[in-house]
Amino acid sequence: MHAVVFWGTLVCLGYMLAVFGSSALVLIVSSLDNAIRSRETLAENFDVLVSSRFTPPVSVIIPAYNEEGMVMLTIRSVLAFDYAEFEVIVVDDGSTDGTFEVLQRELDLEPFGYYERRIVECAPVVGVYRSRRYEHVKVIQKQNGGTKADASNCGLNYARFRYVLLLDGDTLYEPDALLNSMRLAASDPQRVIGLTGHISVASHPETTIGARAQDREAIDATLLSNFQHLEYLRSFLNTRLGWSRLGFMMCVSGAFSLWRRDVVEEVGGWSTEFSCEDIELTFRVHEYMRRNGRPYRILSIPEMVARTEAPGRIRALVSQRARWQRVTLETLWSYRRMIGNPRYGFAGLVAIPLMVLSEGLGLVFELLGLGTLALGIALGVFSWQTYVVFLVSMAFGLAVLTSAAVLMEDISTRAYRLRHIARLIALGPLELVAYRPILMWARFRGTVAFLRSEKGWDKFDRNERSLPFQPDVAGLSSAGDASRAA
Amino acid sequence: MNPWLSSYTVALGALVLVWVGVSAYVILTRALFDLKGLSFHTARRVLDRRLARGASVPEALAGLPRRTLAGIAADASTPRPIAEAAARRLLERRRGRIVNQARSHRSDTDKWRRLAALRILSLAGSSIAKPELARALRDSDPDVVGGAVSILGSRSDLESAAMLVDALREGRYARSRIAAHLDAFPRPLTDLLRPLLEDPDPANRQWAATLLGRYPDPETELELATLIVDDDPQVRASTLKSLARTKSRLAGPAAVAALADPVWFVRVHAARALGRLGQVDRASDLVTLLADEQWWVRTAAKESLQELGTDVAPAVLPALRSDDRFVRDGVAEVLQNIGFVDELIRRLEHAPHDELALRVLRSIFQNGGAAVAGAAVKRSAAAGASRAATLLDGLGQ
Repeated sequence: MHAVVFWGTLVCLGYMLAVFGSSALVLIVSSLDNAIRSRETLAENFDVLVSSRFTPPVSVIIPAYNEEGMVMLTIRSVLAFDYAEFEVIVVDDGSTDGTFEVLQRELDLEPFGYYERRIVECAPVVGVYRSRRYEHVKVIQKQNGGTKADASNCGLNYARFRYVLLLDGDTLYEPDALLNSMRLAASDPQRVIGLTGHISVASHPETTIGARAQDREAIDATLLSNFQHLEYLRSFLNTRLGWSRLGFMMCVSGAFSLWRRDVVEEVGGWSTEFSCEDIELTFRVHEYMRRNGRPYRILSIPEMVARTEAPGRIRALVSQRARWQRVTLETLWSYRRMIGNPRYGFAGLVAIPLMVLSEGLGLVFELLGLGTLALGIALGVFSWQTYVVFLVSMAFGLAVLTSAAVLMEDISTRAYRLRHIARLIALGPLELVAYRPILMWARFRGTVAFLRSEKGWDKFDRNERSLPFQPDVAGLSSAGDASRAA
Repeated sequence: MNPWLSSYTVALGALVLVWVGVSAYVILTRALFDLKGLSFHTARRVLDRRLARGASVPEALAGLPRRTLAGIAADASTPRPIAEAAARRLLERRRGRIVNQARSHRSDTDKWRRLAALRILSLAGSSIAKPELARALRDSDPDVVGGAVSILGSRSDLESAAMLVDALREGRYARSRIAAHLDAFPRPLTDLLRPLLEDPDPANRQWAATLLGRYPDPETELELATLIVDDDPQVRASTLKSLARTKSRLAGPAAVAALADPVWFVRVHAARALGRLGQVDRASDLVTLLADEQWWVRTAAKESLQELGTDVAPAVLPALRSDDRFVRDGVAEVLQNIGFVDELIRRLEHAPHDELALRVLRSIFQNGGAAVAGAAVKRSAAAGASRAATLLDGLGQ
């Protein structure tokens, strides 16, 4: 028994060192990428890019389901995009609240007949509307399809431009998000087929988006939101930038996913078979492009493109993260043939095995590690001091990664003030005990849901606001000007 | 002491030290950044005060530190004459170093210094700028080439434009990005671009045809027109686009001929050209495209018909009796989008027994598909046209 506990603990320790080591290696590449992108931005002439007729136009698709409180804020932030040409396609996915009424009132909609391209299947369309106020805005009202993928596919059928940008109906976007992304796509249009950016969280994103950097609070005052902020930072800056530079960006985030339309059409649109559509489509595109031997790049940029609402309650957070865990496992299981298969290049040989290790088996090893260590102490294999030293080491190991993420964020945006940086850094070592247990519980629930083959999408309740709906709350219509002035 | 514990403690200590080090670095770099920003803004205020007091630009820049001068030169919000003067002063102070940096780079960090040096040389109007920019355009690093393209695009002399045209011809950087700079160039580039129309590479002919669309000039248009029969469909499409843009008299016949082009996107551009030219007498040609097998061509035809305005109604109405469903749907959509359907509804609201209006609406609704009819019913109801809405409801069914 003693030997089993001893070796069990060592295996778990080895696992954690492997994950930490790989994270540190990816972090080095991410830092490099961040530095390169920051310098590139300085050498770019954005004035020419934003006004040129050769800057590719983009179809922006915004699926919305029961988003009466947020959808207009999202749309206003999109309308403030500082970009040459784009159309906005809002898909009301059979909302049962007042989403459509809000859209009708705020956009001054009128119904019109339109014969779309039917490229991919989706639930039946009930009505097509155009805005009298903004000529490049259309609203498609459809029956509920049960998934964001269905609404996205509907939007794809109405999209006219070479690039499609899929957004969330409850997220607010930075005015320069599209320009920063398309800068890379336009520089290498043959190979850059997918792109995402850095997404941040806020309990009330409408108060922080679009405003000049020095006029806004870059982080919330609540601990739960701060920990989520740190987690997003690590995910987007420490990990995805490195993946992007190494050629295996495995998740183009659904809250901001830019794709070349022809590629999405070739692979058959977003899949409605999965709980969440973004990671699965990214896997499918990798698989498709590799299988057909076509050169391609899927990128992540360090610039912050959006702020999304962070769950303000632990229950809501657990529900959201459990769904993320479930969809990650669904995708990994569905694409298990790519694991270790040289045909799929780095994606199959490195990225997916790493994801299996960190996302798929992470929970198992974390639980096993904690269990064997506790058992080891009970049996006298280890002292309790060992346990404490081990935990504190893990906490500071995580904190090092967090500080590095804060550094990268600060270099790329300069949005923080010194006190924000100090607060985030100080929270780093506390994350293991104050936040990780919540995530572990969420991952456990997500894993159980995956094993039970559960599907479905449970939206978390919106954070409380003093007023239910304030369309002009952050002066979003002039956000583009403010951003350029900054 | 447990040896395991001691080794763990060492590891823990090391980790804590790493964390403290990284965190201190984060805070220090940010504090330094803020400090630099503060000193830069102070210097800018000094400069503004001196200029307000009537000092000449060189006098106002006198005594400012090198980093501030570099910041002023690089800052996009700096007025061009001040940025140029700051660059000249910098060059006076550190000529050897800047020239060396502009010449080549050894590492990734050097690469960005090289671009900064090239920008200073260019702003200062140095004679070395052009040869060094030409060298940068030939560099194997795409970032350096992209930076050089951007700097050349910010200049206004024809020699810089010629360098950009060479870069375009040789495909040294994304052609669309080079073209964007040439398209924004403040001086006419006809003489530089025309030779590209005969280039063996179709990509060059395409971009030359596209860029020449800025210059309405009969001689250029004649040369462009020869590309209407080019072997490459992209070239044909770009030529149509440019001829329509300059409203050339050759555009109409060229577009009509291209309506039957075997390649769908050429037909798209032919349809758009006719719309842009505003030739209502060509509406019937566009109606034939409503039966095209490609959705994109049908949509371009619809949009062009809409662009022609309400005058196309008499030309498109007979097509409601077409055998082709796409044509009927397309015509109904066009009539809806030019406001013809709503105009008929308004007439019916005032005169419910207007037989002509009823007959035409019935034809649109019965032949033109459910989407247009359904939307019209909703629109009329929303507009409070109750009598018309009742009538339309019956028609729609």
